[in-house]
Amino acid sequence: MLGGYKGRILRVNLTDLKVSVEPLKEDHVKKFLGGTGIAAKILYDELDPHVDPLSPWNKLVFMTGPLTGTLAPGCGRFVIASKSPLTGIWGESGSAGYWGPELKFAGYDGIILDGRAENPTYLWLNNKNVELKDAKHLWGKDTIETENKLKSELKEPRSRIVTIGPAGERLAKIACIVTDGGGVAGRCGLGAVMGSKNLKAIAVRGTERVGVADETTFRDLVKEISSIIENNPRTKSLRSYGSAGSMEGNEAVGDVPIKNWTINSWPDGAKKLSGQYMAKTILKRPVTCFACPIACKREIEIKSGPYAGIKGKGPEYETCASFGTLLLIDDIEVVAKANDLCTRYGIDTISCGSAIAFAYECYEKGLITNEDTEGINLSWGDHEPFLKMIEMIGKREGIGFILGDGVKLASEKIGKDANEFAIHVKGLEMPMHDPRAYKSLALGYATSNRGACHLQAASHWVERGTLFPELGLEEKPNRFTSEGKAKMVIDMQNFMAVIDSLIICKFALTCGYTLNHLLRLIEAAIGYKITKDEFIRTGERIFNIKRMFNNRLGISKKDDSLPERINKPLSEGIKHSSPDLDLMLDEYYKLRGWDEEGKPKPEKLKELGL
Amino acid sequence: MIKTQVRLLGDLREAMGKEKLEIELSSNLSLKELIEDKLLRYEKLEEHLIDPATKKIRTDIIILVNERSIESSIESEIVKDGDIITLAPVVAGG
Repeated sequence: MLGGYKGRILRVNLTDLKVSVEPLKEDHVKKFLGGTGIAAKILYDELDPHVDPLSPWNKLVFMTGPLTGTLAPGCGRFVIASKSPLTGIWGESGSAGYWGPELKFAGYDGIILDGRAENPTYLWLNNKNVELKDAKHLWGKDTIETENKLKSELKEPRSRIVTIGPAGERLAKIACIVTDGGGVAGRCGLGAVMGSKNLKAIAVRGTERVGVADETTFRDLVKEISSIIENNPRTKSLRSYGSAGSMEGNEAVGDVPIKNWTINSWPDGAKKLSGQYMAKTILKRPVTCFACPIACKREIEIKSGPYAGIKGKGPEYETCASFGTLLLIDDIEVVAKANDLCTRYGIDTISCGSAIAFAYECYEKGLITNEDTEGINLSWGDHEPFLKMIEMIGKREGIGFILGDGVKLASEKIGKDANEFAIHVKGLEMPMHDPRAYKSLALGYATSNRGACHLQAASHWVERGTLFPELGLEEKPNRFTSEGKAKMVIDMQNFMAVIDSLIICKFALTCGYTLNHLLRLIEAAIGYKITKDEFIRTGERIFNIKRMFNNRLGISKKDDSLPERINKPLSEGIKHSSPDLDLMLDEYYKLRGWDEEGKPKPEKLKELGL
Repeated sequence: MIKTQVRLLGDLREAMGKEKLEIELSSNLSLKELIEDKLLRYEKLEEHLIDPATKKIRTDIIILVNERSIESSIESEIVKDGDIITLAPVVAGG
């Protein structure tokens, strides 16, 4: 087998309780590399496109990449993919931490799950020994309890766990999958897919290192990249303040959504929700993922006041915005408490904050009343109703039941004008960056294969001055113009598709990796050379196969859109403007080699070997 | 001489231990000159403002003049009396 890989995929059918091991196909490796790329190829080939996402016939794929588990900095991530119950289209979500490397140490590159266990079950991989075990005693338990209990009963404190919480068990479509006491694969509701299979958790323990093709060159390269990352000022900033260290700067340019995307300026709120404020108040220490010199994760502890006793993983930027600014809450301790609740119930914080903000606005405009909320007054900025709503979503009680299925479905159920307040693309709630502040985000959200996502392209990073000269992105473009943005978005989408396949953390990426490093790492790890053009072509292939997955489900130009609210600039606050999505989309389809309806043309597919 | 106020956000405020700097400078200076001549004198700011690889002013600094973001070149933006200049570093995350 090629270096970096284990060459083995574990296949588990939960209906028959059967497990088997298959070789990782070399053709998949050469064309799709790993991670999200191979997951997309597997699901495109194997899945009936019209399968109900919560039926036994949907598949859930856990994948690592060739760099996962090596000492290359920031390569502790893994990807989970499936047909999303939240959006009904391609669904993927990644998490950092330690589980991905542990899976490689146990001897597997990935796991393909299908079927549905008759009773709650968990999967235990102890190196090559695979067991499906009874999880009745874990069903109903929160993710932290589950992780602790499993480590204890398996007598393997060094095992690594992915698990769902009560929200996933109850099939909330915004349920996530949790690892390492608070790392999450948050987006697309994949926790509900796991719950639909009656699979509570996957515990892994492995002791076999990941070999690479050229150990000496690889080790020298790791040393070189690590040294650059260590000396990058971004590293120091991320270590000191975490991703929420960007909160004040983001607010200053009108990038942070406030009060369900109706306001874009709240400097005092942003300051109190920032990583810098967290560092002075509830931060206990920065924590790191596997083989990462950055340590951007937060460990927090609240020692006094109404939320005393909350400790563990702290909120990141997205959560500080979705539970803070989006709801006009400026108390970091409330955000930390809400983050803890979502970790325990297993709920995506972006979708959860968006769903609650949606409910607040429906309540404010009289579309729902106290009768719907069981007497709870939903008032912007109030803490208690907000925390109560999270509990209701986690338990699927009252209005929490419909909010737990995301804003698109909730708005359809509430009816009237509720869709105006449901801020999503293709059913996925928008992350906490405003396309009216960075025009390329509009195109990135509209064309992202999993629905609204800022990380599938991360092209707004270029608009704020993080340049990628080796991709030809050498100058900071004007963030307010729509013209010429299509090529930049395509370049970044293709590039990031490879990053999510290798798999490298995108924060680590911007702390010092260059394309040249990546090409050299691939050669030293896998054992064959790929050129820059092949690298980008691989990304293009991965992006297109996901589009084909979605095209098969009827996705076309009509779906590559933005919520109406985002198409209009705000009249007050920080100056911004509405994106010209039609202009960008026309240019985008042409440059992608897609037809006018947004489908890859046959010649493009042939060119990509699809 | 003209007077400007430089407002520091995020890491820059933490590094300097203050939110504002009052700066006096001769007229007709550009933003680039303000940063190079005045702000880089502060060692604590220098490490946030200078790219260690290129030794030039980082491209990923958020710069606003009177809450208007500067999308053009910092060489061509002339600082005026009474301007409030806001600076924030871009963090990789989020």
